[in-house]
Amino acid sequence: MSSSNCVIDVKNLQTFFNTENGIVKAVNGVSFSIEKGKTLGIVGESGCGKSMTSMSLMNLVPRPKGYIAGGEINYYYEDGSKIDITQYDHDSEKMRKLRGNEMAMIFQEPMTSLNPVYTVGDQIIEAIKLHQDYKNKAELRSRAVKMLKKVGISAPESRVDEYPHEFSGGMRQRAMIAMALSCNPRLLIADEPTTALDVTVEAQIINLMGDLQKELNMAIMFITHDLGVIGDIADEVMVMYTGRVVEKSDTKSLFSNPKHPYTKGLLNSRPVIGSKKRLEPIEGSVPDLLHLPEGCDFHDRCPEAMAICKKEDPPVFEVEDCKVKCWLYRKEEKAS
Amino acid sequence: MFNYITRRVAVMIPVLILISMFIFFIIQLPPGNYLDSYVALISSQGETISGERVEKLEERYGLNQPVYVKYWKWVKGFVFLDFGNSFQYDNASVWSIVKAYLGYSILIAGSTQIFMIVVGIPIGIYSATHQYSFGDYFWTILGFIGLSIPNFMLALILMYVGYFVFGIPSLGGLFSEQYITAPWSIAKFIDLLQHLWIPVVVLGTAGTAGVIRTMRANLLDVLNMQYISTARAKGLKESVVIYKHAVRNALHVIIMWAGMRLPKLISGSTVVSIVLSLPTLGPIIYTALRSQDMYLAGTVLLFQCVLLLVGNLIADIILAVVDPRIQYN
Ligand SMILES: Nc1ncnc2c1ncn2[C@@H]1O[C@H](COP(=O)(O)OP(=O)(O)O)[C@@H](O)[C@H]1O
Ligand code: SF4
Ligand SMILES: [Mg+2]
Repeated sequence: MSSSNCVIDVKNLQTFFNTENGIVKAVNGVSFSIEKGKTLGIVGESGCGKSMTSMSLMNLVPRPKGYIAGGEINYYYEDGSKIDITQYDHDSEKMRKLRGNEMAMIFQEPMTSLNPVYTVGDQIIEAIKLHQDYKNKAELRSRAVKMLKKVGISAPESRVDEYPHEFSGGMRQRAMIAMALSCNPRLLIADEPTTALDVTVEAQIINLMGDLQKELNMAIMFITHDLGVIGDIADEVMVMYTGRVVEKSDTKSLFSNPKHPYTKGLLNSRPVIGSKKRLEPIEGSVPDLLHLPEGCDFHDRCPEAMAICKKEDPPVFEVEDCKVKCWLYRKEEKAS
Repeated sequence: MFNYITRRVAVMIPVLILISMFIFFIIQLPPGNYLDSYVALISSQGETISGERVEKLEERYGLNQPVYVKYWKWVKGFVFLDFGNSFQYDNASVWSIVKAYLGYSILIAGSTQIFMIVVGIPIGIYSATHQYSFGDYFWTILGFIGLSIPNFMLALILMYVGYFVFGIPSLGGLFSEQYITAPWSIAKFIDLLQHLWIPVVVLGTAGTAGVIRTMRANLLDVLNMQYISTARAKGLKESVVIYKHAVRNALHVIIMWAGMRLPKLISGSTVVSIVLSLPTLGPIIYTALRSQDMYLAGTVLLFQCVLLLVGNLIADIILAVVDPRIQYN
């Protein structure tokens, strides 16, 4: 897809790791795109390749073991021109102008995502200086203060000179958001931004992100392993398992009519406030990427597994505008 | 910061008093005293010494007095740099002996320290940022060799190579003959540098290997931290990410280690100083301990403790500058 609103378009992305025991296919054939002002949610248990997908978009896959083995990552600039990130060196000028400026990222661990030896303000100013035309110190500082104020930090004029260890977890994540948004990025990648925070702070941060998205009209890629979080913010949800996309659909139908057995499992293992229904975590655990089972990667945990599932890897079927990688939907494919 | 330093220095005084007691106690522990070893030495040479003369000497050195009197005799003059007298150097004042060697000891130890850091840190950074590359393996292997070669051997090898390959004459000592008694001049300084590099390389090689290894390991840890990804995600150049964001966070252990290293450089240089005939305190403390020259031995040990405390203080000050999380109070 390359409509004029498209910000990022990923095609068949493959991100691998060379390890002593073989090649780990952390991301294996992932495709998606996000439009201006829209949010794509990515869910899946730990180790399913969510973070490596986002690191690939930033061209920051951990070297030297990790590398992008195939596919395209097309980023569309405001003027409609595009750049395929996979074709550029991670430290090239083009990439450096993209990172922090066109696309920004916030991480899972707010406690460690700011450098402990520099003030919060200096770290925000560093980003602004890199990509914007503010030259004198006072201007840069007032811009940093403005950003801190925008993300709801009280007394920003004094807090701007404090060190990260003087901030609480929630405040650090706010400061990270301030830094990420300081250059008005068109794409924000949030990798489990609320996982380490408690529930009330989580809700505040998600509301904040939603408000800022409306204001800046940016695209967001929101990663989480908690489906409960994603309903409020995502327009579309992509479910990942063993480095592959197993289901992709709009948020509403994902919750009302989940199709893939893995998605159903994730929904059943999610606590619903006010419901007395017992939680049913998915049995078993994510398989080792070096020793994937024959056939469908999910078959030894799947309550609906059939004979064919043990032998052949299912292709992706289109079902009611959703994409599902599961043999259960084979008939519908033939009918359509 | 100023208050912090003053407070730290004030705390050092009672600590030093305790250390001086401890040192004196330890030095008193071995049976016998300087005269016993002196008498033993004389008789081993087939001569005898009259009991009368021994008594006279005992009196002269105050050796028959109780321990606390001897201790007081030693410490009471500290503020005036009076540390008592040495027996083996014919009752010369301890300070005059220490003074002659302390400067060169500190010069050699300090230069070695700088050498280890200036060479070790950049190589450590290179190894960490080029993990598993040829260069990384090369430095790792060289580091192991450096760690395992005994210092005296390295000294002999360097003297050999220096003399036969580069034709540098008389590599022992710190000065060429014509400069030993000459007043300070640029030529004398250059001569000093020409001699200084050998003890510095000999004493610093093992430590440099340690610095490389520590720096590599710490930097690799830091490079895995989230804030490094944050710095890259901002769009910073990789070199800025490494030098501005990573290295500063990887220096802690090295700074603390360097602070504790100063006195070790002085005592550790004994064998090397003998081999290279260097005017340092290493050989002095060695002979003083052997002949139970207690005031001299105690004073040199005390100076080592002072160096340890000062080294730690400097390290703490640098740490506080490098890392704002370290509180002064
Ligand atoms: N540095 C690495 N070296 C080798 N394999 C890695 C490395 N980082 C991640 N992987 C592999 O990539 C897979 C996906 O990791 P990740 O994207 O971090 O998962 P998620 O974010 O979904 O929890 C992991 O299961 C692991 O096998
Ligand atoms: S393909 Fe088969 S095993 Fe895989 S999810 Fe569908 S039903 Fe389950
Ligand atoms: Mg992750």
